[in-house]
This record gives sequence, structure tokens and C-alpha cells, in this order.
Amino acid sequence: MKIVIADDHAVVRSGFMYILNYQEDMEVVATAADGLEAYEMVAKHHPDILLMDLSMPPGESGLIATGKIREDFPETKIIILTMYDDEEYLFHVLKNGASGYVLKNSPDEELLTAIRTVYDGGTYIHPSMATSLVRQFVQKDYQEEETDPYKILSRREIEILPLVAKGYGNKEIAEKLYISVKTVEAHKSKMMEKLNLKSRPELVEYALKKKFLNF
Amino acid sequence: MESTFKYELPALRVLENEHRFLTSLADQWHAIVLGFERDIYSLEEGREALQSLRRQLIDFIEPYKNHTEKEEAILFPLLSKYVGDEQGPIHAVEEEHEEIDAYMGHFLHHTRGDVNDMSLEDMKAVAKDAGEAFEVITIHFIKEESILFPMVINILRAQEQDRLFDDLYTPII
Repeated sequence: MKIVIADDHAVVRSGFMYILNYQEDMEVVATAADGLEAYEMVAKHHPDILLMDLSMPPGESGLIATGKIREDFPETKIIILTMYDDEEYLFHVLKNGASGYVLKNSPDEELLTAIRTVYDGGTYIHPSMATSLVRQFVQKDYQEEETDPYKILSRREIEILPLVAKGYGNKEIAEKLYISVKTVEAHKSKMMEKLNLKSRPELVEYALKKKFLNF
Repeated sequence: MESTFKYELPALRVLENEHRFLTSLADQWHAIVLGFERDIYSLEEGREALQSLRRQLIDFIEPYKNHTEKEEAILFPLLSKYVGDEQGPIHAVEEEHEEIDAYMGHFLHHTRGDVNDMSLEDMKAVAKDAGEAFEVITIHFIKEESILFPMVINILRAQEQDRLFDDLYTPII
């Protein structure tokens, strides 16, 4: 497989180039010192894999270049090389189209595994980062569950919510739903409490956000 | 896929890869030597540059020696069965190994103390040894690739070429 290495440190480029060329199934066809040069080398060589350092001052960063290269050369798979085991970076680079995320201080074997995994169509994330990725997804799911009106509100409260948001009075809602005004008041009060809302404008905003109102 | 390597024979690709790696490391410390040649350093900068040159050269020596020791123990004896080593190309490249060692050793010897006692002229003079080592290394690699490597293809039997790969396929870093 053809590989391009982008890193602003010449000694790092040399080391990776040696290790990868030592493998019988890999060949480094070009190296680059910043994101712009990485783009040019990918355009010229159409490699299977681009190993991209995330931080390459003063040139274009790996993060910006990743997005551009992914867009213009989707056949080239990008693996991010970084010093950072920071989940923020991980999410940004994955969002920008990277297929792998390897820490620079990882053993050589891990880098080689990452390259082969990504080349075969998979995604490789450094094990400690994979844990944080899963945690983030779990948290996201939990947060969504916490704010999901269908999980928090009762069926009757869900019926009342858009009507209150649209400005219907308690009497009108009671008539529409064939229930008493007191029952409407009770549901409305409980609903506001569950959603931690204090006023009708807040309720309107919430109803809009959760797509209960269609105009 | 068209390879960027000159030689496809696995044993030669191992050596060519090592040459590329060592050349890229040498290019980095040679940039400092060129800085001295072009008088770009002040006294203070020169002292820092010389210390950096020494560090980089020390880092270079281990993989370089791993490479040359493999050649001397594996490649040269195999080829010398056919072309001898009393004179000719094997003898010449072995002598170059010694020459490179001498230049690098000379540089390290003269920079082993406190460089703060050295003048800019002293530093330029010492850096010349590293520059000479670089020149010989560069020519030496070209010579090996243009003379010895074709001999491996043309003289050695397929079985010997395979064995050569097995013996040479060890990392130098």
C-alpha cells in the first residue's frame, strides 16, 4: 500500500518512513511538513493512507487539512498521529473524516496495526481514546434520555404541551381533550415542574426545540 | 504500483531503506554543518548549534553502525566469495566505513569538553569533520547502490539472495 507521512518534525518523518518501508506490504511514497504540503502530496501520489500529524505549526494544521483532503480525495484514508489523548481532538478529527487516531508514543506495532486496519476498511482508535469515545456516546445517550419529552412526560402531558405552547387557555384545552379545567391545570403544573420551566415563553421555546410546534 | 525504491529484490530493498533513513538523519545534522560553512551563527548560536550537532551525530551513530556491521558481517563476505576483498569494490567500501568512523570519532573527540571555551573559528574547524563524514557517507551509499547492489543481482544465486534477505532483515533502530 502507498503511504504519505505528514509531520513537521524531520526526525519523526525519517523514523516513521524507515519503520513503514521496513514492512513488505507498505511503501512511503512521499513526506510532507505541513497540511498544505500534505494536500499537494496526496494530489500527486494518490496514496492509500495518509499519516497526518495534528499539530504542524507554522503551516496548515492537520485538522484543517484532514477535512479538505477527505473531501477532495475520499479514496485516501487518513490516520491522525498525535501527542494528545484529548477526546475533544478525537471527536473533531473523526468528524473531519479521519479513519484512525494513533498516539505518537504508541509502540510501532500499534501504528502498523492501525494502518492495516484502516487500509482494510476499518477504523482504528487508540485503546484509551476508544474508552473515552464510548463514554461520550453513553453520556450523550443518557443526556438525550434526560431531555427526551417522551421519556419524561405522560401521554396526557404530551397532548397538553403543544396546546399550551400555542396559547390555548385552560378552558379551551379542557374542551378539546374532554377533561376538566382542574385536571388541565394539574397536568400543566406537573409538566412545567418536570421540564423545569418557569414561564410560557420557555415552554414555547422547548416545544419548538422538541418539534411539538409546526407552523 | 510503481515503487519509489530502485531495487525490488527484498534483500536490497532492506539496505536501500536503511540508506534512505540514514541519509535523512544525516541531512538533518548536515544542515548545521552548512550553517557553520555559511557563517550564519553568532558565537552564542554557534555553541548551541555545535551541541545540537553533537547530539544528532551521537543519535546517528547507533543505526549507522547497526547498518554497516550488517553489511560487513553478511553482505561483504558473501560477495567476496566471488570478487575477493583484497582489492576491488568490497575493499574500497570497507575502507570508506573506516574513513567515516574516523571523521565522526574525530568530531566527537574534539567536542567532548565544554564548547563554551571554543571560539567561532574553533567550532567551524571542528564542524568540518562532521561535514567530511557526511560527504563520504553520501558518496559511499551511491557507490554501494550503483556497484555492489547490481553485483548482488547479477552474481549471487537465487538461494543466496533469499538467504541474504533473511539475514539482513533485522531493524537498525
